[in-house]
Amino acid sequence: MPRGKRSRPLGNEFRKFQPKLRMFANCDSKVNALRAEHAAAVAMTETSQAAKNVPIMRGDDAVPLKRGELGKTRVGRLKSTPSDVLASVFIETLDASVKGRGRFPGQRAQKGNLITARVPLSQLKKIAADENVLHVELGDPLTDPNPVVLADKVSEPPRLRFKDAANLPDGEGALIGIIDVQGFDFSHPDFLDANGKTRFVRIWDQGATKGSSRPHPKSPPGTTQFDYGAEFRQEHLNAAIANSPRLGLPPYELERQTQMVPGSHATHVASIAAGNRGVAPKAMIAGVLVSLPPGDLDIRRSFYDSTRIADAVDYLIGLARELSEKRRKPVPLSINVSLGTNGHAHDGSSAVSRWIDSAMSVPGRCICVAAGNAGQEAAQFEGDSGWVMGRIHTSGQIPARGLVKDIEWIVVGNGLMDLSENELEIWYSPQDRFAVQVRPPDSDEWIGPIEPREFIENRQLRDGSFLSIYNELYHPSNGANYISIYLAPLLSEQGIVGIPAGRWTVRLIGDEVRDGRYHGWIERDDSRPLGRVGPKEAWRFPSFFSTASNVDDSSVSSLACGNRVISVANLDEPFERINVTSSQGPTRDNRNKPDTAAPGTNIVAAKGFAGPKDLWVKMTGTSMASPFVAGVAALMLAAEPKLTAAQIEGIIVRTARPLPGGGFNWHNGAGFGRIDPAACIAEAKLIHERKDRTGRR
Amino acid sequence: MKLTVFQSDKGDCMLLEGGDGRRVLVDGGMRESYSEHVAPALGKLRAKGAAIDVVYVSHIDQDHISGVLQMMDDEVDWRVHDYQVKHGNPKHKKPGAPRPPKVKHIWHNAFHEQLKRNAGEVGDMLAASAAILSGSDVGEVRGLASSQADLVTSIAEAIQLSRRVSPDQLGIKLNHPAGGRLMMVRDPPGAPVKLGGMRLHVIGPFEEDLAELRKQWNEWLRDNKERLKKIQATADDEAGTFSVREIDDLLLPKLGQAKELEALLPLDSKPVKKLGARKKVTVPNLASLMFLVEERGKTLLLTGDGHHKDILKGLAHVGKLDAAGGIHVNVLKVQHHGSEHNLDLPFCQKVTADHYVFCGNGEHENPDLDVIQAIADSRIGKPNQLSSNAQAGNPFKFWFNSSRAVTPKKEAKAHMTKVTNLVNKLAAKSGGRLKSHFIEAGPSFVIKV
Repeated sequence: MPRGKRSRPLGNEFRKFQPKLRMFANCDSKVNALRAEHAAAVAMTETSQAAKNVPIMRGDDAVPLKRGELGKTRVGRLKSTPSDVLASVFIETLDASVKGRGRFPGQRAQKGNLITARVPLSQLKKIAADENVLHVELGDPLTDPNPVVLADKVSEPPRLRFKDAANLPDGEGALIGIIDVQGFDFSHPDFLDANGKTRFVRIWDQGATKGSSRPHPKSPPGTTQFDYGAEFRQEHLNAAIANSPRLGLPPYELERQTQMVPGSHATHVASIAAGNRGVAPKAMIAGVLVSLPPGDLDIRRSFYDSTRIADAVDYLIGLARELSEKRRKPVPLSINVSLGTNGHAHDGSSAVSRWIDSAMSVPGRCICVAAGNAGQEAAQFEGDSGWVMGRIHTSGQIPARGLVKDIEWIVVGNGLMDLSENELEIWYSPQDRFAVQVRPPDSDEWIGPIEPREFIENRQLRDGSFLSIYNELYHPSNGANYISIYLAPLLSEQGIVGIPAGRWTVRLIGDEVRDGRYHGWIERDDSRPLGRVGPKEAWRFPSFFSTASNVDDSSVSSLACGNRVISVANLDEPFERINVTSSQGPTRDNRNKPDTAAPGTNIVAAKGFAGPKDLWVKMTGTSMASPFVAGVAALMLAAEPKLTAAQIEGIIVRTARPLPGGGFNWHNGAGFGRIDPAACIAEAKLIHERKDRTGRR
Repeated sequence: MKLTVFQSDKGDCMLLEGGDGRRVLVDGGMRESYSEHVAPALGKLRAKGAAIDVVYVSHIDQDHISGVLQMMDDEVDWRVHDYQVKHGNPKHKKPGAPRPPKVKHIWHNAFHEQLKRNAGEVGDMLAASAAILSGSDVGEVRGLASSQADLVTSIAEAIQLSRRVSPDQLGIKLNHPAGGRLMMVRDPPGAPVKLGGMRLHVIGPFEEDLAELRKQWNEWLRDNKERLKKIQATADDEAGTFSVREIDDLLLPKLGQAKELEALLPLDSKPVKKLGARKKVTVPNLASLMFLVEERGKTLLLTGDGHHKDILKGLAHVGKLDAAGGIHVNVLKVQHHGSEHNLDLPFCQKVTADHYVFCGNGEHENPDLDVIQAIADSRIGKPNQLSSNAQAGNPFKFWFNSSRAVTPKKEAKAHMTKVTNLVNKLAAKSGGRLKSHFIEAGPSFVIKV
């Protein structure tokens, strides 16, 4: 790993880049090969030698470095940014009318003035030199969905699983698009029609490699947007169902997705929205499987960042258009995303949020997003550790110039080794100027202060790990000031040093205070054991705020903070209350997210890939609540195909029923209350109703 | 009979062929070792149009079962490939592995069959306790955590295998000699399973042992459910106030909790010097399915990871021990990779062989040096150590399916070097009676009897 200070091939172009991207670019291929194992928006090229040769440094033989050995790891000056490392980015341009394939290296798609691209780090300089480029940011990492899977044995749910379903329409004619992970069990009985054929019209598996299954989908003319993964068409899926008995293999083995997890999340979610026992039992279903690759080496070569969501949304829109043409009548589209992102400003200004806003500006489309399961800040019962996921937000106010606020940021350790890159972003008003200091655990030395427009990059700490701090003014997308702090492990070929465990203290110093308020979010890593490094268990572990610093609101996933998304909280229906794990609003810019609540606790729905004797499973999470609303939106769109996403949101908000004890005002846990499907549909049907009263006196 | 013994990482994988060409694949080793060393040989069999009559999985541990799972997956890959090419996808990539031969039967006592309804809960509990233990500062406890974690993997693989062979998938007949139920010793012993000219006598596990094991698991489950909850709860209580020390508590039970931790283990974790301590053998190992195979007066003993007491009990039950309680076989697959817990000197004196086969590549210090020494002592040792079997004075051979040259890990190499040195020393003083063979290159060796 380069010692940051001396080696910075990517320098003056700084202002156009998200700091993290710059930090990545100023490390060599070997470091990035290791980073690509956990960084969603970084991947190595197919031909990269580093991806092949840099060993996975884990296992009993792996050696954590001792302090005295650090010297071995320092490599010299980095001369150029690596060409075998790809970053998945959004490029924001000044002029949306400037189009054309190949304007930027690795360009994939364009929406308005936003362009997605997979860029070799070595090309970043060239992009920055382009006068039309305003800003380049990495795709935000997608977080694993983390619903609670309940072990109880469950039997087949009743056909009318939802109380008022008997009186509701069936969603015939609408398309429900599910963007999710772990695979779609298209041959599960909950998705078969009366003739035994699947109701899935299409599945795009973004993770498939060439030749491993079906070819990739066709991209829109002039782009390469969908030139990856595999597309399964309805005729493939039905042929697999027909041939399955003869070949002695289940249909999903004949048309293989890259993820086919027993008890799959995607299958469960699809079943709630559109299963035969779900909300919209006659809707067509399309699935987009976001890649979460299984092996370390695969992870090095793949992306699972928010550009994938942008592609998925566009793909589903294209599919709805194709189906409309085929059927000669409009096929409206209701999308569900039970995944989240934690990065960025939580104000709908992230690139993917703006991409979605733009896509949803056309009538006949709608998108629901799970609010997230980060609502819990303390243990609820014996053995409960869900709170770890809940302490991701801090906020406060520096009262006056010269005063300070300390934020306690806890990294877990001792025997465990945290190999993730922990990241904290603090956003504050452009009126103010804050300086920042950081104190590592078990140290009495402060690093900094770093003043606005200053930074340190990849500074190696005494224990060998790395610290970067950027204090930036006027973010291009929302004008706010922000401070980014990154803790990175030492990933050298000679050995590994995890991030020092314990309490990191971040001190904000009021240089100039007019407003003084700030919000901070931890870019959440999902906890995942990575295996052993010598005697220590290595983890990708979520860091979190101490009780003193954690502020129990505004924990809604940043993807669910978008302007044109319907953000859904988890209702514990029998108890008529919001589940404690459900994330709370509002957004950083004080908008009312979540919008509504829907049943998401102890939900029985299809269990995928588990064999014909094990068909149902119970899960809890906003992941289960969001598809309920997506199903209702599909019913509304089937009744009134020209509704806009904004109108659907408006109707849901208007008809929502407050929970016991609540009023019609917005609540940070329940939004405007629980969704009322029948009222939504009734209201949707009235959308064009007008009475001309001009003549009446 | 012809026994081909493959390199199989730290596990077992052998192909037994009878005089009339009937074939039994004995365990599959690890996935990677199967693909590298076994799949090509089996692919050649398929090319010749040959089939495998029985795949026999001795028990669920990963180093025995995962290779078999890989073999099933390879077969599935080929079926899928053929299907895809036929159904409009000519560019579908050919599977990388050769297609295995047709498998007619599988013998495998699935974990969830042995445990009945509590299998899922035991699996969950093991996973939970492994997660807690893995954070310990005590090496011993961490070792046990990783063996629990391995067991969790094994249980999952056993379930996968059951699904793969089930009637709605590959439809391979399971445990046909037992009518599809668990394979075990019957009382009185049933007729041996006939496979062409081969006769296979089941010598383990006994029904009462399986019942005992089930009882142990259930007791472990009952005793530790509360304990596990308590450990987590203590940690969480303290987490409420939150200091760094308390986070440690949450994830890492302290040394003071070591007693509690030990109770979480289904095994006795105290170090034992003595050879053959049955208490130290894991529950799945004790449930190993074991056979005495006979053909035209030749004999072969397949022992999985079983314990010597159970082997002797089984041999006695099927009436194969002589008046002095001994038996001489042509081939003994030394149980449990030659681990010190599964064999003692009296066993070596009772059970002698022309060929001793050791499956193990030096990981976990297997084959154990004391075990090799004990076997040698029973043949060329001091007068009071010698076996009284009539054939004990014959020449004999030690076969190893690995060597310092081919085993990959550093510590395992060091151990295999010790093994080689010991075997050379023993051979030198055996007066030419002890010969040895290590796999220095290539996938396998063959023993013909």
